Amino acid sequence: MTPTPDPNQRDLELVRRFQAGEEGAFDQLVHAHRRDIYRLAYRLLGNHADADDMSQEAFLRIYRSLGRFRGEASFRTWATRIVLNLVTDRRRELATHRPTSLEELGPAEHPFEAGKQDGIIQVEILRRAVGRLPKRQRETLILRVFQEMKFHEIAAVMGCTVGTAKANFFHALRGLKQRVGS
Amino acid sequence: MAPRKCAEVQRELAWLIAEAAGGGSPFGLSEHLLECPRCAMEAQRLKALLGSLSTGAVPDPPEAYWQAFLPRLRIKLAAQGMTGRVRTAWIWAFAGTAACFFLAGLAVGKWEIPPETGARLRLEQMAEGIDPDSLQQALDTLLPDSDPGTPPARRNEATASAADMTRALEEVLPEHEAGFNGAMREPTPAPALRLAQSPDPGWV
Repeated sequence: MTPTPDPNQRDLELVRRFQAGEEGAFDQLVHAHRRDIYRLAYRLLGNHADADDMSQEAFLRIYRSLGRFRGEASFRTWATRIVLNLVTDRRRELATHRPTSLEELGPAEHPFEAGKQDGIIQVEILRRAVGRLPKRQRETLILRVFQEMKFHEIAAVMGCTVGTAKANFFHALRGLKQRVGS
Repeated sequence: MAPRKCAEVQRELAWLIAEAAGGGSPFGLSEHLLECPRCAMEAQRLKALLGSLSTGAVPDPPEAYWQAFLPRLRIKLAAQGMTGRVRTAWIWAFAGTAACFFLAGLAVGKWEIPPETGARLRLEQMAEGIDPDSLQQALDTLLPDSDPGTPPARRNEATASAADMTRALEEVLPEHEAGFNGAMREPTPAPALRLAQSPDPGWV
């Protein structure tokens, strides 16, 4: 039985091969991370269309920047930071055209979940409550709960200390609890 | 139970529970929760909240979507990459050419006009104010060795050398300098006045 390769090492090897000129290595990186990036974008933007657009844009940005990736953080951390930056830009852009927060965007829409109504009300309440959280708290919560990142990884993505990341998470949960009244 | 300790525990409870989600028990938490019903209740609420959050999973698009994901990305990359390269190449080519001309101009100090071009320019300038037939007659007189097969309007222009044209001009306008590099060193008089001032205006 062959041991499962460490994802970080695999990513670094793929990045190294891409930087050496092997285009196919980028395809493997996309294949390995596309679902994570799509889900993160969906969590942050709340619908499939924006999540799809954002995940494609994120990989375009990754492709253009991959030559300068030094491996100081893991590829996953680096890619997550790119998505967060893009989402921040997108929110800023939308602020002048559309409602600014998730709770104002209306019910979540996804073309693939038609007919699935179980527990949708509770999920919707939570989703809107998450959308009302301050930016740093919301991002920390999403990275921890949905992306299952460790706090040291979140700290690397957010550019803060582990203690700050934990404090943001604590405040996010407390704010969420107050908003949903649990 | 000291209130301060409960506050500390509750402050750390959130991330302790989150860290414990992957397995294992947060250090020292179980003991405190056994002794403090308030903190135990808080822990239960947070666990329920985290559990509720986790149930709101993102619906996974169908496999067809994922199969099209990379090809769509590749199309965008090709489009953006090609556009970017062409635009960049043109900008650099234009900037490089402009820089070469600028440096060459600085090095030379002034733009040199070839003798033939200078003479032709001067003749054309003069011809603008002179009757074409009179000018042609003057040129035929001054340059009898021009190719007779060339149409009259083009004959002298086509065959006259810089020296011929310079000589012609010296005879017509002796007050002008013979060289035409850096043309227009002195103001050119109006054609009618110039002809009136020539030694023998009867040649036209």
